[in-house]
This record gives sequence, C-alpha cells and structure tokens, in this order.
Amino acid sequence: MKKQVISLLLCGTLAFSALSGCGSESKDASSTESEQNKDDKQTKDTKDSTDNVTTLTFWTYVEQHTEFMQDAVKTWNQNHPDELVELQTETYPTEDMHSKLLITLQSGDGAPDLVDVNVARFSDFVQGDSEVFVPLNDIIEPEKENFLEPVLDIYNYDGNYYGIEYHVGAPIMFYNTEILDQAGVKAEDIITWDDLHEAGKKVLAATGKPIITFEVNDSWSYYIMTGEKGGDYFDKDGTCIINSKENAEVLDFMLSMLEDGTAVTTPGGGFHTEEYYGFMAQEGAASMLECLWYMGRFTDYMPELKGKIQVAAPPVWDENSQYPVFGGTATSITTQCKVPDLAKRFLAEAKISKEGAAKIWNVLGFDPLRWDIWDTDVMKETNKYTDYFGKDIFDVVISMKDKFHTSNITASPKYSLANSLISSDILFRVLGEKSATPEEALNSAADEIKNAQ
Amino acid sequence: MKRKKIITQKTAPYIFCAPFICSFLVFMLYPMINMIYTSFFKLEGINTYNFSGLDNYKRLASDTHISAAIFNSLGFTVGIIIVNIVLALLLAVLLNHKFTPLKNIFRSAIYIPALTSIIVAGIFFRLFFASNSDTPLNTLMQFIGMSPKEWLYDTKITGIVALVFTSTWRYLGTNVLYFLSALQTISPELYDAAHVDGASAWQRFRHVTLPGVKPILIFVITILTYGGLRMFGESYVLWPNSKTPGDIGLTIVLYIYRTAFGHFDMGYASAMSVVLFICLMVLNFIYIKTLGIGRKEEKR
Repeated sequence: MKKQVISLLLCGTLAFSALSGCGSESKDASSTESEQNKDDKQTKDTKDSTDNVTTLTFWTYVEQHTEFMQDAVKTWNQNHPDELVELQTETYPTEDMHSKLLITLQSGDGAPDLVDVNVARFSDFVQGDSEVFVPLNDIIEPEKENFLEPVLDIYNYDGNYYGIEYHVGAPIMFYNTEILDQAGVKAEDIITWDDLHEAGKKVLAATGKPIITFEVNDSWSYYIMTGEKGGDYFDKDGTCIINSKENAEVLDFMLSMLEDGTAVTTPGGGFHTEEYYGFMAQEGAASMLECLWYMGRFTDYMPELKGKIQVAAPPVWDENSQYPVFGGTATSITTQCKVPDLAKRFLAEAKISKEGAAKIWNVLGFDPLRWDIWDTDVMKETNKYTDYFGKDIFDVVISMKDKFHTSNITASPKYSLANSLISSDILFRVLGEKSATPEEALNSAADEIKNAQ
Repeated sequence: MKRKKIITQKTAPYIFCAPFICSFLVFMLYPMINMIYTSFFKLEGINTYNFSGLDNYKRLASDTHISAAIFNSLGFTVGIIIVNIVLALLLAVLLNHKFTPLKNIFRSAIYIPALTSIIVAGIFFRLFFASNSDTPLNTLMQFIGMSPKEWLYDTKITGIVALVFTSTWRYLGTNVLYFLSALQTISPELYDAAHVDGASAWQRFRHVTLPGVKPILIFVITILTYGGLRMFGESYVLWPNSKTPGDIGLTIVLYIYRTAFGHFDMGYASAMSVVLFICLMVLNFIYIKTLGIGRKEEKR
C-alpha cells in the first residue's frame, strides 16, 4: 500500500511539474519574476506602505522607456500620496513583446496594464470587432490644442485615440561636418534632394566617401523621403497606394545616387545594427536621414563623433514638400487593466502634462508632442544631447513645425505587412540586389497586399 | 474488508503514461486540430475570425516567398546533411583511431558548442558574417586576396552557407558523438580479418566501417532532415527581427512564424503549417519505407 501511495505521489509530482510551467501567469510566478528585478525595477518609495499601493504592469521593448516610466512613478507618488502606484516593468525584444501581447490579448488573460506598441504594429491591434485598448480621448482631448495633431492622429481609429506617442519623431538629417568641410560643402546650402546629390559628387571627389547611406533592411528613411512627396503605403480610406508614382520616383532617385557612388547601402542593412554604428563611427558616410530620436544612438554608440554631427531639416523635393511624422512608439492601456481610470490619469501625468513632456526631452532626448513648451526655458536646458549636438537642436524642429503631416498608420490592417514588405523585400531587391525595377517591385508588393486583404 | 488496489498490473501502464498522454493531448493534439480549423478562417484584428473557405490554401499557390522559403529550407537541409555526415564521420574515425593524441580532450571540446544557446551563438555569427571589412571572416577573405563580402545580404546561397556554418558549428559535436558510439560497437576483429585479407584502408572503411555505422547513419540523416526542415532559431537570430531581405535566409518555419506573429495572419499561417505537416508526413512515410526504420532485424 505504501508503495502505491508513493508511486501515485511521484506520478502526481511529475504531472504537476510537467504542467506547471505552462498555463496562465499565476500570482506566485509573477511575484517571483518581479523579485528578480526588484532592485532596479520597483520604485522604492512605495515599498513601505502597502495598503494603498496599486501595482501596474508595463511592457516595453525600449529599456530607456522603463527609466522614464519609473521616473514618472516617483513624481506621481509625490503628487498623489493617497494613490500610490508601483510599476512593474518588463522589457522584451521588439518582436517577442508584440507576439506575447497578441497572445495575451487573444486569450483574454495575462496582458499588462500599460504597454508600448510599435507604430508599425499598431494597426494590427485596433482592427476588428473587439476593442483591446482603452480609448484615451478623455485625457487627450482637453489638451489637444497644445499637441501636434498629426502625431496624435497616428493612433486614431474610428474617432478614438488608442495610444499616446512618446515623441514627434521629426525627420532629421544628421550631417558629419568634418567630412562636409573637407569637400567645402555646407549643410545649410543643401535644401533639396538634388542639392544633396550635387553636394554628394563634391564629397565623393574630395574624400572618396558617400554623402548618404540608404537602408535596405528597414523602411523608415525611405518612408520619410516618400512621405515628403505625399506618398504612403495606404491612403486615408485604407486603399493600397504602395505602388504609387511618388513611391517609385523616390526609389529611382535613390538608385541614381547609388549608381554614381554618392550613396551606399547601409552595412548591416539598417541604421540600428552594430555594423552600422561601427561604419558611421569610423566616418564611413557624410550624412544619414532618420528621426530626431536617433540622437540617442549617436550619444550611446558613436561617442567618437561628438561635436562633429550637425542636425538639420532633411532636404525636400520642392517647396510643396511636407515632413511626414509617424512617431515610433505609442503607450496604450489594455482593456484587461483592472484600474483603467488610475492608469489613464497616471499616463496623462507621465506623458501629457507639461512636466511629463519636458522630461520626454530632458530624460529621453525625444521631441515632445506638446508644442506649447517648445520655446520655453525647459527646452533650453543642457543635457547629453545638447553637449553632443550643440544647443540649437530644437530650433531645427521648430522651423519644421508647420510642415508636419500625419501618416496613415491605422488606415489598413495590412500596414505592418506593407512595412515589412518594404523593409525586407522591396528596398533590398531594388537597391541592394538590383534584381527588380522600382515599378516591378512595388507592383508585386501591391499584389501581395491585395491577396492578403 | 479487502481494499481495492489502485495500481494493478492492468492500470499501471495507463497511470504511468497519463502525464505524457495528457500533455500530448493538451499541447500537441488540440493545437493541431485547432490549427487545421483555423486554416479555413481569416483573422481580422485580434480575435475576429471570419470563415474564408479555401482562400488561404489558394493564396499559397501565388505566394512568391514560399518558393524562396522552400529553396532555403531544402538547401539548408541538404547542406547540413552533407557536412554533418562527411565531417562528423571523418572526425569520429579520427577520434576513434588509436594513434590520435588527446582524444578525450578533443571529444569534449568538439561537443562544447552544442551547450551554447542559439541566441548567443547566433549573435556571434551575425557579427562574424557582418559586411564590415574588419570582421573576422572578411579579414580572412582579404588575407587570402579576396574582396570582403556581405555574407548575410548577398545571395540566397551565401545565406544558406551562413546558416549551415552556424548550425554545423553547434551540432557537429553531437553528431560526432553518435558516430563515435557506433564506431565503438564495431568489433576490432573485423578490421583485423579485413587486414589479413589484404583490404586497403578505403576498402576497410567501405566494407567494415560503413555497414557498422549504418543504423546510426540512418538515424542521423533522419534527425538532420527534420532538424533542417523545421529550422528556425539560426535564421531568426542571424537576420534580426526576422527581416530577411530578398528572402535570403527565409525558412519555411520562419515564414510561418512571421506570418502568424508578425502580421497576425493566423489563418494563412495555419494553412501553411497544415501543408508543411502533410509534406513532412509524406517524407516520413518515404523514409520509413526506403530505409527500413522500425522493421524488425532479419533473423539469422
């Protein structure tokens, strides 16, 4: 009999241990997980008083954002001693976080309260019948006039704002002045893309280096260039315009620069690779086109270039050109959040209030959405970005302010597919492999999107 | 009163198998049935499934990425089978040779890569194959008088080479161990007899070693085939964020993963999985029939 009991117990233990790793996240599991990260992830202020502390969970794929949010929690707890908040943050790689979010939202269990969603993936979550994010209209609308509307509109679907962006993501040209000086070129003289091409010929002749690099494995620099022409992947109604004339013309222009050596494709395929950081740090090219937030990559990964990089408004096609804005990351509140009201008020204080917006600049080095603080003193404070790039960074953004226009990110559920096709197929085939003409490649992408719709 | 025994000879097998059967039902069979069901639907948003009949299967025919994924997966599979059989057998013979010095050290050293995580190894190899002229591989290329190459973004073939290289680095040791164990079962007397009969080294290898390792050879080919066709990790890490420009390095499973979790196209991804499942089952059947797996040894 004893033997039977023991063997049954063993069987039970085996079955339990086999199954316990799976299933929904239990309280114990989450608390063990948070234990590991306790030191740096939890706000110490809230540890003492446990009665009125509400724990919120936050997922992100950008480590910097966790620091920003923890800082916001400190401020919140100082301002609201009766409603203390504790934030448990978890950082995942981009792809993994979105897959995990999808699964938790689909299964209706385990999603975080607050989550950072990448702009390229946002449309996937808001389409369909079920609402997975809480509309943020009541915290955004009262402050709307102080905000840059094109950026708010990125995450607007059916009249509801489902996310709030960190930054404008103003398109910016980063010039290496040392290389330009060697060729006698001034960044201020480069107004149009044709000017850049001409300047590129001078730089190439004087230094043997290309003036710009084009991504073949990421889409955003192409998206800026085509957005300036009025191109996009979808129009406002969600009709696919990925193979529009404007989009093809931009690829033709890029090809012409690649052909005469004034441009090269990026080592590593994109701007966010170790290969590229190394290439630029060794002064491989004279400029690059990205958004303002890329400053952080320079300060962190290319410290050698300190004092040599000038930020400027990107070249335009003609006087009618506008600058597309598409932010980068929205913070949303999931409908699984038990305290949506508190989460909303916390998010408003963290990212919508004037103080929060100022921190977006001073802590993260991002261009905040609130334009009413752009010319105030807080934007003139020195930080690691002003040390690196000089003090007039924000004057550049202010000069571009009236030319920003929104991108149709939530217009179609196939936005992420379109973005993925451009970044991992079209650009490579046209600019890298040169195995397809711009028209052929864009038409094939349009067909593929049509098939998937 | 006589108490009934719970574990009797009749019930014991069921009780002992229960944990496996339960986990198989919950984590394998149910998802498989659900996958077949989902392949007839189209996902809108997060959880709105609309019936779409055979549309997902029809899409397969016109999808240009699939042919590239099949090419890459097959190329990779053939590549790892050839390299892992030839190289592993050669190394095993060497390590089994009585005159090889420091055998035990080499045996453990060759196995160590298998213990590393694919993520760690993959990141290392991504930088190893990077296009900059100062990376290890390109430095070597320049040393032998060739120009640096963008290995991961050049052609599908270089992509497959990178994948085979990474995978071989990791798994070669395991395969060497398989062959070593097989070699050690061959009786030395057979070699002695062959030697006496005047067989050359090649003839001894061909007529004594090869038949001796045949069962293991079949086993290794089988696991390499399945490992190759369902390869995901190497490709996922070598090309970050599952971006495979020009479909270089895109494998079947990576494409299914990207369709399901990258584009939330669950129906289409399920349809692809169903087709892959059918293809693998056919392959399985062919293997069983031709290689005689599972057949009882002939009686002497």
